[in-house]
Amino acid sequence: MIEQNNNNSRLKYKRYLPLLIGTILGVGVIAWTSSKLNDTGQRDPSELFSANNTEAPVGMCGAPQPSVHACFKPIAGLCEADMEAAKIAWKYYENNYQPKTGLVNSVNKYTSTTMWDTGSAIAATIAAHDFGFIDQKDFDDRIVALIKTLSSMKLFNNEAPNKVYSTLTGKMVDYRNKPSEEGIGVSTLDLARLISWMNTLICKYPKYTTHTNRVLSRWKYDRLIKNGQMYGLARDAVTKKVRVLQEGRLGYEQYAGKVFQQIGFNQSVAADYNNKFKNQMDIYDVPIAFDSRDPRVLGAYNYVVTESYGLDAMEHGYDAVNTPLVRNIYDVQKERWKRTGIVSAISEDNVDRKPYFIYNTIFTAGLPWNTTTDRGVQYNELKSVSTKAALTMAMLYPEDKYSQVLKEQVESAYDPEKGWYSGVYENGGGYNKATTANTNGIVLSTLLYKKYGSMFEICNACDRRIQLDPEIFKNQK
Amino acid sequence: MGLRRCISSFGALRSRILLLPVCVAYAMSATASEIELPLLKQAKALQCAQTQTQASTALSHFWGIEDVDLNLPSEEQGDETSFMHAATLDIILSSLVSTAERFPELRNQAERTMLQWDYCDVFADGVPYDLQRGQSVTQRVKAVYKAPGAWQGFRALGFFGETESRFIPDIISLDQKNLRADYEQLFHRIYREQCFPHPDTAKLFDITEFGLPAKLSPNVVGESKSYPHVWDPECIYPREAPELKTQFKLEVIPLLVPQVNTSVRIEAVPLLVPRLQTELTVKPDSILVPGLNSMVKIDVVEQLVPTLNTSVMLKAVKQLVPLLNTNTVIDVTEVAVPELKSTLEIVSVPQSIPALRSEVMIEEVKLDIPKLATELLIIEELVDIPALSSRVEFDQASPKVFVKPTRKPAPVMVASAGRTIGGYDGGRYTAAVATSAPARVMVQPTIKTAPTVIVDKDAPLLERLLSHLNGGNNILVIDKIQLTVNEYNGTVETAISSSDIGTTAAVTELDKASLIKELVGFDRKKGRGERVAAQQVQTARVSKIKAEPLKSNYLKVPPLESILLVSSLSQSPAPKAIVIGSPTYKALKVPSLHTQLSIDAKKYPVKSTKKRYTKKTASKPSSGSSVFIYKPYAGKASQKEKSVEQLLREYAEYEARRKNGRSAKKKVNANVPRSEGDNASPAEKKSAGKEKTTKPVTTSHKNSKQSNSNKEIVLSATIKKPKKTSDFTFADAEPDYPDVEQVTAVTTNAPVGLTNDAPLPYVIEENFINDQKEAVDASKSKSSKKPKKKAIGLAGNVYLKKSLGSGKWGIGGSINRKLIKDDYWFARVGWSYSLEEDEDPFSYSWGIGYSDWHAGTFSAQLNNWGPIKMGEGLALDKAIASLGYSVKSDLLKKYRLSLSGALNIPVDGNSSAAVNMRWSPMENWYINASVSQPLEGGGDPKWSYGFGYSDWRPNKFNLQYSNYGPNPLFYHNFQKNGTWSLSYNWKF
Repeated sequence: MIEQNNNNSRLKYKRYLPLLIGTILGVGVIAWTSSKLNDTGQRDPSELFSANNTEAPVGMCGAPQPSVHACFKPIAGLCEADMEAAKIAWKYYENNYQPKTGLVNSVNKYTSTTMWDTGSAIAATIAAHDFGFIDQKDFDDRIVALIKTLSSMKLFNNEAPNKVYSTLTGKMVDYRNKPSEEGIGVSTLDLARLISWMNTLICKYPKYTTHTNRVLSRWKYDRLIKNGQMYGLARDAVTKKVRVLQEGRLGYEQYAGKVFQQIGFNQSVAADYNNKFKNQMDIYDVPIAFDSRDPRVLGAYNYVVTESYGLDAMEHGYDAVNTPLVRNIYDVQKERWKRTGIVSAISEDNVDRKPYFIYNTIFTAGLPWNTTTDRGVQYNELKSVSTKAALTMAMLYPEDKYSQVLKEQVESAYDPEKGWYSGVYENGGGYNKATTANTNGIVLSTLLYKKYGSMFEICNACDRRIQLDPEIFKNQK
Repeated sequence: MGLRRCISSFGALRSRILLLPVCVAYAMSATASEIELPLLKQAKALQCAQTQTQASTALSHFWGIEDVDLNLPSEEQGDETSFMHAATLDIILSSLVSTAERFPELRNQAERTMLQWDYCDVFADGVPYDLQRGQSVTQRVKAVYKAPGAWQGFRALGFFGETESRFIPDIISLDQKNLRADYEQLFHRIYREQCFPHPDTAKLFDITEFGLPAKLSPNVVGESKSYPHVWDPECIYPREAPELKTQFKLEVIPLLVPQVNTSVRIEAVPLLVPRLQTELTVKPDSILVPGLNSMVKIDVVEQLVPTLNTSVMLKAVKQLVPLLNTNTVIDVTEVAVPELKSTLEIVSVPQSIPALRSEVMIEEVKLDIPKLATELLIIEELVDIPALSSRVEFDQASPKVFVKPTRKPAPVMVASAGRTIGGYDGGRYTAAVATSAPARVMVQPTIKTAPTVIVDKDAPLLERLLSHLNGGNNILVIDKIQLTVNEYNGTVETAISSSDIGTTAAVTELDKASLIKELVGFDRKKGRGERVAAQQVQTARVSKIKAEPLKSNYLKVPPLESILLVSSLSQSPAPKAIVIGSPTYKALKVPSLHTQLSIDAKKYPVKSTKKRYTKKTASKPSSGSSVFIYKPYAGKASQKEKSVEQLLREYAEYEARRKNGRSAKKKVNANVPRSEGDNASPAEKKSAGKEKTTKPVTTSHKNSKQSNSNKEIVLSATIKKPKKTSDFTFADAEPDYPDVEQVTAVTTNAPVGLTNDAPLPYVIEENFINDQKEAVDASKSKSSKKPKKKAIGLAGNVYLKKSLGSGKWGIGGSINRKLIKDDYWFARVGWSYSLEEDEDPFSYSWGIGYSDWHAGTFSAQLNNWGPIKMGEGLALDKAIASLGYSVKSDLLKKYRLSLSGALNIPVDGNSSAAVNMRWSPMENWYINASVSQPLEGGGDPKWSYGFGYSDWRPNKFNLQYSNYGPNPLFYHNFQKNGTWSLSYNWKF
């Protein structure tokens, strides 16, 4: 009888064995994944730091060399919401990463990129590794692939990176993503953002120092940096001649100028907010600085947007000059919200419909709150709360209640499978579903900023910066 | 123009022959001579260029010709003066636009040409100006004349403010990504500095709007009222002159009609009529006939055989089906054979017999009494038990009493039946049996009429049956019984003892079951049969025995009886198979059978005795005399053998499960065709009649062994040769096959939103449905004496697919392997190769887990549906664990629906729950849909669906449409996400 019972029970067990195993498996997976999340989310940053710090650098076990993180000391912990936001942003980079070249599409599924967005990609990859989304191996694979591409790709006129490259092939293309043997030009502003994050890269991961220096020393800066300003190269679409054009207007000019200044160039004009081109006007009683060079005369627009000031603060840190400027940018938008009820977080952005790229500005071409294309056509119906601007502003002034308003405005503007949308249309037109490397890269870099502070300040504090070939500076004017 | 003039001037001439050459010559020279301005000549060349090369050449003439001061091309360019008429520029622009539109590859060049010029002076405020520069002073003259180009050039570019269908140069109309300074500069120059219309608004830049100082423009010095240059916008190509001749004729004719008509009629009519008529008749006939024919052909085309072809394809499929049917028929017969083989499982049969015997006992008690007397004698000799049993068995003089007229006389079917004593023809046994049998005959003539047949338990059932038929004798089935014959001091001792070795797994399920049923059937029907009642009514014990509940237990068995009949179905093929009888190879299947009889076992629990007997028999052989020990399970270690009770109980459980339709292992039964069940009854009766002889034996045996009878019963029974038509069927057993309708559609745990290059998920469960059937088939081949071929448990498919969304073709396949035989653990690998993707076309997927296709079961799997690219390994982070359950419901089954649910838990991602409904209106046709609801992370429910023809059996083709979404509810995305696939199943 007993045996019989045993048999019965055994049969029962057998029948429910799959169920049992399945349940254990399912619970296990959930527990495992959630524990992983919790790990990163709840870990004390200092703990994380010290854990890494006790480990000697690779190959240098116990050697008295400074740790990788000698420079990166967390000043704040990331909360769970931050980690969620970061994960969403990283999703974009996972989706659009091209292993063959190490490059990342600048717009979702559009296989071309600029050096500006490549800088964003480095920022995102550093953040993803720092936040624990990818392991060291994955991180290294991505960086190595990228550096390989950067050091082998064809340069425009053999001088500097072309404005656009195919992420699939690493070859020069034009804005329509068609292969272009001769290239279309060089954007020095774009190079600045790439350099900024390569500087952070070697600061946090010194093992890449040599390679990075080589990549940057490969370029010819003579035509790009001179007279204390930056110049871009452009192959004229009509004449096909290469033109050298001064690049940068107040805002972006200073963000980029400071980068070149950091690596040793004279940027007396470009790195100075108080240069001769600065002009100022009051919008909603807030003084706003803008570039006096008129686009109707010189062609280049003098956009005043949040992004350049946000990047300046987050990467270069505050100083006496930019502190009030950044604050004013914040205040004027807050003021617009107060006076009109329209939540304002203003920046240039891709949009998910024609004309696909909009300069939503605080001021440009003589008009405040001007939303325009670079052909000067106004698109007020495409005004939007820019995700990157909102999150940047919220990060810069977390104590201000308007920051909470900004955060809430864009907190759901994402697709968990694609990343953060570019924004939310002001007129109730829904999400601006354009999904870009720039927006998602800035989301990640704001969190890096929250955790560590501004990158150049950190790296300068421990004296790590890019060292270009001294020959480069010999011909500088 | 020149030509027309020529024609009109010569209009009055009658003679066309003279007229034409003159006109052509005039036209050619006229156009060439009229346009004298080089710029216009080039414009003419460009406008009239017939090939891209010509146009490209002509276009190049406009590059870099602009006057330095005017920043425009100029008509007359001297050192100090130059002129440019707006009308000339208009003509040039017009030809540039038309060139760009006619030759898309030259568009960029044409655009660059027109965008290099400065239009600020030549066009302002809607007014074109002629420009003239002299001595470093430029003046403008309003062009108020009627331009030969009608300002079409300026108009086409939007200078006049047209926004509709104007020509917008790509160079400045790029819908950009983030363009930076270079585009702004370019746009600035073209729009603001060269006064070209805005690409979006077609407006010209008005600097005054911005309050900025206007650029200085040349003075306006009056109006010019005429355009001095000749321009002819028409392109006349000399080479086509001959064609023009015919046209001229047409124009000229109306003028000349009256004269010509009259003359022609008079002269020609009579002569021409006859000829014309004949010609006309001939032509129409020939022309019409082919025309009609062609019409007929066209009709045929319209019928579009293609569809017919496809239907033909379907027919081909149907042809395949018939083949399958025949196969299945064969399988059925084959199935019968295996069952016979399974008879080898007699192991189980004996076990069941005990129970029967006990019932039988009741009636047979009368018989027992005499035996008891004899037993006493046996005790005196040596071992009590053997004596009793031996007597019974050896009485072979049976024919007298036992003779059953019609049935038993049946001829011997199998070669093995040749011996009179026993049906078993194994060489080693014959001697022993032969010697022992005669000796005993003397003792018990009255008790046992029929000779005892000793059948090796391991011998196939049919073989045993046949042996009986042969001699018309009783069969003694030895199961777990050792028959020991000792020659001892000149006397022969025979002992029967129990070797409680338990069952081996040697027999297939069916066989066991059938045998059991067979035995049971005997009990019932024979128990009340003629002989028993007549002979043995006497005993006092009868009451006790009758009181025993045992009978009731057996009564449940009846449905089983039919099985015996089934076995006989094998008929003609059967004999061969039986001879070959590879006895025990299917041990694994037995377990399920064991369960059922447990109920009976409770009532007859005797285990210890078995052991004793086995020990005894073991010791006896050493005594030295000739000993025959029959150890049916000798080859197998006894440790793991199950007791009879266990086996019975397990069989009972098995039966219960089977009836519930849950048992997956019992599929073999499904192969038995129902149609043959009708024949079963006659066979039953026959076999039942013979049971009487058995009873005496059992009774005596029981007495000798006290209460142990259940386990150690020796069953001897003569069975008539089964009818050929009889069949093996569980009376109440529905084949499992209908369960296939309720097969869980795997798609429940397939992810919503498979990408196109992912391997198609594969319904693995179905693939193994008839695993056992296959095995049976394999054993059938034994007739050729080949060793049984074991399925290696690999199955899968290959497919050709086309995704409607991308229009790409791909091929792929999958391989599945059962991890455990007869169980539902599997491992799976799928692959996919895109035929139209250059980069990394290969991808794969994998899965592992437990999945039972039956309704009412759980499944647990870990899958990565892919696409995994080479080098990504298992990509565990993208794997999905899923826990599924398929609903068992008769209601659903009735409507041929199946319902299942699954909980999908990605390793990295949000989990979701999915429900899948599948409807199979006809066999192998199905429609299914599943809905998935994310459980975390929010999100709307998604659904996916599919339909098609799918036959899970190997070597079949399937045509399926599947749409893995992700589709928001109520959106079908039939084109966007759908995939057609043609697949072929295989299996090894």
